[in-house]
Amino acid sequence: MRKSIIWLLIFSLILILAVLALFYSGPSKSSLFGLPNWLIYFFGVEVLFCVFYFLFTKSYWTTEE
Amino acid sequence: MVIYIILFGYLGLSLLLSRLNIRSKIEDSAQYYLTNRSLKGITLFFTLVATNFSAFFFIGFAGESYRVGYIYYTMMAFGTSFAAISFYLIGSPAWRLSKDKGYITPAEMLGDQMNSTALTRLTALLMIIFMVPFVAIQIIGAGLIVSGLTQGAIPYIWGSALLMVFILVYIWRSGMYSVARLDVTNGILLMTLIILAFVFVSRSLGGISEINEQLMEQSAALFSPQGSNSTYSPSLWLSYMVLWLTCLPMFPQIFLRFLMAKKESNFRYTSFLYTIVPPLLFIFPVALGVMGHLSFPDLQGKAADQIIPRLLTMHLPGGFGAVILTGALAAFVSTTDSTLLALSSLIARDLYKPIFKPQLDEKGTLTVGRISILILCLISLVIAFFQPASIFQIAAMTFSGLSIFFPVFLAVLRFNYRKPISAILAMILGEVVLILFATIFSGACDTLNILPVVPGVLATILILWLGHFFEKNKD
Repeated sequence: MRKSIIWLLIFSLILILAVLALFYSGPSKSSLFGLPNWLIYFFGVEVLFCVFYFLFTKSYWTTEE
Repeated sequence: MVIYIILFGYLGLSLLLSRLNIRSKIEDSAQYYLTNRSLKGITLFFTLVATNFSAFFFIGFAGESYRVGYIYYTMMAFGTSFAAISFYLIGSPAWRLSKDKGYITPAEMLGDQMNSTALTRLTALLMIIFMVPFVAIQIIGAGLIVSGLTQGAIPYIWGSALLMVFILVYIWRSGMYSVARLDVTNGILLMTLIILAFVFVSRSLGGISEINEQLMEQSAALFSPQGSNSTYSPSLWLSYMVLWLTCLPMFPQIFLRFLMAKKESNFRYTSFLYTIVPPLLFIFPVALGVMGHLSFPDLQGKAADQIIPRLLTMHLPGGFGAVILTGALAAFVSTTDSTLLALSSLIARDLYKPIFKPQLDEKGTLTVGRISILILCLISLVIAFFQPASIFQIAAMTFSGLSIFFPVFLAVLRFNYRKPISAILAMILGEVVLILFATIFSGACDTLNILPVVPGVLATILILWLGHFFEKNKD
């Protein structure tokens, strides 16, 4: 149960980090392919989600064979 | 001529591939619909991805990005990736139950767990009602692609019919065996071709950095974190996350993928690989849509959905553009074949057999399933021919309508919820609330800037919870 709540909190936090991109109000221009800064931040959140989902499948998702 | 060689080459090669090393004798539904639960590795991964990414991925993403800008990437890429959590929530217990009890369809799993045939029939019926317009829309899209490819030489409706016959030929005999085999090819095709489209068009326009810098000057709104005209507020964006998370596992063709894994660990690794694909892949159609403003700055409404074919026609030699557009056909084929199979399983096993012929054996059930595929194709073609306006409205409700099932499946599969009357009420009233908020109370959703799926899913959860006070668990 404790582990479930921890994972729920982690994924909720990542969702909040993702939606924060929509509140970005800084300068738009970035040096990476001319993409806006908030999109680069968003790529980072995507990577974070993939990493934590991998850890989730390794450590929490037990399987039956 | 080149275009015909490409089109019929794709169809012919696909037919050939679908027949190679395929089991010739299909004896039961587990083989026909689930490949006898034998998939693993690359095949399982590609069949999940190719089934999920419809022709909308190839055509619609770019059209919507043309309208709203890069924000569309965040909504689709994160939403699709994030929905992998539902593979654990729904897919994992569904796989275990299906393996233990031999369930083939989501409706029979739900009904049998609650010991309620009414629930099985209601679930099957609602899924069919929501999915038939979805198939029809896919067929309309495919007809348009074929017609566009041949510059109208093959009329739209004949293009739709050609692709329907093509799909029927390979799924009739070997069912999901052929589908899974082709999904690998189609999955690789659609991924590779959208990347190639991006590379060639962006090079032709001077490179992605230069394109973005130029567009930033011309149309800064496309780079806004809430989209042009602030289309996506945070509340609307979060609504979409609720939608993707809840609807994705409830598509019957996706649900079948949960049950097809040989081992749960195969499915678990596939779900992880699945999270990586949307962030890597979705940027290409979205960027194509945005960069379309340089070549076609004034497209309005539905015309924006043609941005990829227009860009390919303008920036690539004709034959090569046609090669790339076969990616859209691959996306269409890989979604439609699986959907037809999933719907036929619902019709044959959950409606026809229990209602009309309870004594029907496996062979007879498979025959009914095959005939229902044929009927579904004909119905979809008729819809595609007449294109009634209402079909687009119903198809727009497909995703939300399926989301209403999510809380019910979650309660049954994860929380041992066994109250069939409450579940039936929750489904019906959830759908009613959804329709009310999508129509006569749409103003409330507009004010709150949320999708109607949010009140719909909340109503479903509320009724399930109230069931605790009025109904005992049925053993």
